[in-house]
Amino acid sequence: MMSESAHSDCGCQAHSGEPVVCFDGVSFSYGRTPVIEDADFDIYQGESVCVIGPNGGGKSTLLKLMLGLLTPDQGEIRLFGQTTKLGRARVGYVPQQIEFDPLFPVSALDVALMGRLSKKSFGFVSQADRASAYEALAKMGLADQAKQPFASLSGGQRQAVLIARALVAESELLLLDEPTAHVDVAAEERLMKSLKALGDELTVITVSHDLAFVSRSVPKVVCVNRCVHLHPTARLSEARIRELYGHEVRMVQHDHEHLDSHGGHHHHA
Amino acid sequence: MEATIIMLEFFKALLDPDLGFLRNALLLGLIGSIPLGAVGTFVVARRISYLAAAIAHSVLGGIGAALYAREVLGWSWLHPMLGALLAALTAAGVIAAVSLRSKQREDAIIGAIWVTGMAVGLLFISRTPGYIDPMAYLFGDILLVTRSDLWIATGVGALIIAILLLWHRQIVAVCFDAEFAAIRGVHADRIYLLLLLLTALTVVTLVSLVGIVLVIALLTLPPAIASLRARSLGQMLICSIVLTACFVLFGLGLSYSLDFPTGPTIILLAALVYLVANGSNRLCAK
Repeated sequence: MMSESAHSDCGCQAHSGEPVVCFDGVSFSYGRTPVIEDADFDIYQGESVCVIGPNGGGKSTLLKLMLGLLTPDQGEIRLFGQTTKLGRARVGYVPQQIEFDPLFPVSALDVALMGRLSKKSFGFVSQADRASAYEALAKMGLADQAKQPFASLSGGQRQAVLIARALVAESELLLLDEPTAHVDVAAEERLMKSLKALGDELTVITVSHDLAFVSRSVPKVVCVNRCVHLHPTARLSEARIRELYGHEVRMVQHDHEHLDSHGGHHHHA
Repeated sequence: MEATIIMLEFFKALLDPDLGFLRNALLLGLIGSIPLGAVGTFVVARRISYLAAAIAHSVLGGIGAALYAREVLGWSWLHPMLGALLAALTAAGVIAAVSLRSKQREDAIIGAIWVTGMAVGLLFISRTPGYIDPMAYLFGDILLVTRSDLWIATGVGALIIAILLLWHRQIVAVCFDAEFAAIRGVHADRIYLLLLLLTALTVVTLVSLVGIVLVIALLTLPPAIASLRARSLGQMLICSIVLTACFVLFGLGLSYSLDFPTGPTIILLAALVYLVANGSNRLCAK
């Protein structure tokens, strides 16, 4: 897959069927500050794509545009060939963090069950919904915490609940905004394992700061710093990263892990 | 011991054929405690007591306009409670629009809606011939409770419960995380409006018993007490309904025996229990 698209920056290689996500000349600005300029890329079914870029570069904005939570100033975004407002019901979304009221009385299970919601959810929760929410929590290692108040969980456990909430939706596209920001290594591995278990049909788009994670987990990256480029990870050269992050590239190297032009990563003892 | 005597006296009075108003008041309170506890739970959990208060106060505008229309325009079919209902629903719609769409200072605008409703009501009342005491509507008067209030409360209460039974999952999801609910296809803004409309309906059902000002305390204090211990929204809701019913029953009993005004007695009882519950909760936590 990497080689077949190596010649292209916009990801418009030969794929059968409609793209899952299609950005067509999309620009967006907060007031007068442009955040995304002329984004043009497609993501196809079964692809695993990572979104990288500096802080304030527009990564979360890109996800919110995909979800129809923000409306582009120019251009068009299609999800599964539909408008974002229609297509997003097939998307599982894990936000970086949620603003929630710590006194709001919901359990981890209640939160996970919200992934089963649709505009036609009337009346009480069905046994099947409850069972799948339990199963998703168990997959994230939270079987014992299901009945606990959401607010009483640790930051990492809460994020695991939010991932479970996205998994129970049985979505075809999963959007993860920094899924490993608050979780420990074990939880990260559990997440990766459960994502793999979901099969090849699932399309996954992950926002990440962790370039090592990018290089070992995904074949394609979307680089966002106002401009948006889709590359195979193999073509993510050091020069490209420097251009993307400016000075921050040094910080990455101080973490003893950085990407080289062959798509691997080095460990400096 | 004394409390038992007071309540026994009250139960005897309830059976007295000459004191029908007392039975009506108690029935209204008990019927009303179901929507009050249920909707109050969502109001407290979502922290929109302030919006509920604004809706309740603007009800006076509707009552004033209805009284005026009955006396001056001869619209005798216009029950003041119907005017209250229309005013509350309108206020809920405007407040939902302001709270969802306005880029201005939301709290200032809602404060303005609150007072505007009251001012409109007082103006209409001042122009209505005959003496009408606005105090009765502000703080409640059990002599105002009529059979038709009971029918209205039963109908409105049943409607509220039916809506909650159907839509509670969507309401909970929107209250907890509106963004995610919207992604799941729920019309988050409409559900929020629905919650405010339910609040408006709830407030109106009990206005004649405890009044516009005090109904807010009865809407928010029982769920606040329940939330100290409840582990789920369902527990909080059931506990709130039971508490509200108890406050109405014992508040009415106390006010009858001690000859206190009913609304303030019920509210003070609720406030006292809240203080004690909060205090003991803090002690237990230490």
